[in-house]
Amino acid sequence: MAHLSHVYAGPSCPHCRGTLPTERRSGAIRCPACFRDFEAAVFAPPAAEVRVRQMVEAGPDGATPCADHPGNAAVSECGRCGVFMCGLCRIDSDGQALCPACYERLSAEGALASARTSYRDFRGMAVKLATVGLIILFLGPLLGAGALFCAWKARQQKIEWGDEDGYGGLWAAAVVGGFDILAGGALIAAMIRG
Amino acid sequence: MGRRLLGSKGTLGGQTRVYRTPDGLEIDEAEDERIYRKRLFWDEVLMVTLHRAGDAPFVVFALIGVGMLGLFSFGVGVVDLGAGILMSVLTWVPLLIYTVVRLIEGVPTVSVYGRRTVARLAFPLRKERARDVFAEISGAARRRQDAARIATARRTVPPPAPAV
Repeated sequence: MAHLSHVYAGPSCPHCRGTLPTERRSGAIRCPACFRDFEAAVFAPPAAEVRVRQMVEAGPDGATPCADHPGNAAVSECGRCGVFMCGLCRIDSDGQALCPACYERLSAEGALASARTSYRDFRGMAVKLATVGLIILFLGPLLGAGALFCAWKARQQKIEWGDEDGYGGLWAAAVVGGFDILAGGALIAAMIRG
Repeated sequence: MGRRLLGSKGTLGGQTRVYRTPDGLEIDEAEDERIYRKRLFWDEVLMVTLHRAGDAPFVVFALIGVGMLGLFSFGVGVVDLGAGILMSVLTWVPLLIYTVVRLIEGVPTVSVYGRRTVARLAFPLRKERARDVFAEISGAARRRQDAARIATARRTVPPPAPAV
């Protein structure tokens, strides 16, 4: 799990990863730690604003209380379980409003596309199988078939993700996989004939 | 609009590809036959940088490759001088030239720092492309953050007083 091994601590020097002064301006910056220059565009993103209406503002007949925060007025109901939610609880994900419990459950089940963070790397597997098939040619038919299957699955993944480019590598892996099958098959046939 | 590949960065552990989406950047880290995805939204961008990075691992591996291919070419050249020269011209000489140029020029690298994560894109020998991507990411983040600021200001402005 090397992808979790380092902790991100905010903007730093791109050369030495040292901390930068909190007062930063766009333009050329010199790192105070390593004295190397880099160009930077600095932003001050506005803080996310959540407006929560209190029950006392609306009165008992004017609003329904949130199930988790009785003092807050509900703004909608959960699209899955129907519980009333205030602006703090409401999570908009994949076109529906969910309460935190349903969001946790659906994301744990992998039912929310936007919450999913891990996928099988079919593209990488296709390239590796095709390359190994070239090196160990008598295994070519097996590895080539695997490369073709992985290239096909990778193409489906890319279509699902809406990728507009990056299909060239898949075609190359598929062509090499096809070559592995043919060349490996020919080698095995020649070995059988003696 | 789908995802568009902006650039990538290779490491010893795997490769990271960075895509542009309507809401921000998607960072796909390929490692151990899996892709780990992180998202960096335009309204979370804190800083975008452009710098020339050194690339010691690539130089070391490239020089090892140059040495091995050079030895192999020398061995071939002992038997057949023409074949040895041809092999040199096709293999280790271009690799050596590429490595030296990359060492001198450095690798133009764009880093995008967000609130929770960072995206890095390397553009070896493509200085102009790195500058274009730097401008594209900075522009998109600025537009989104300005729009959010205007929307917040509109919400907080009190309604005009009724005319007397």
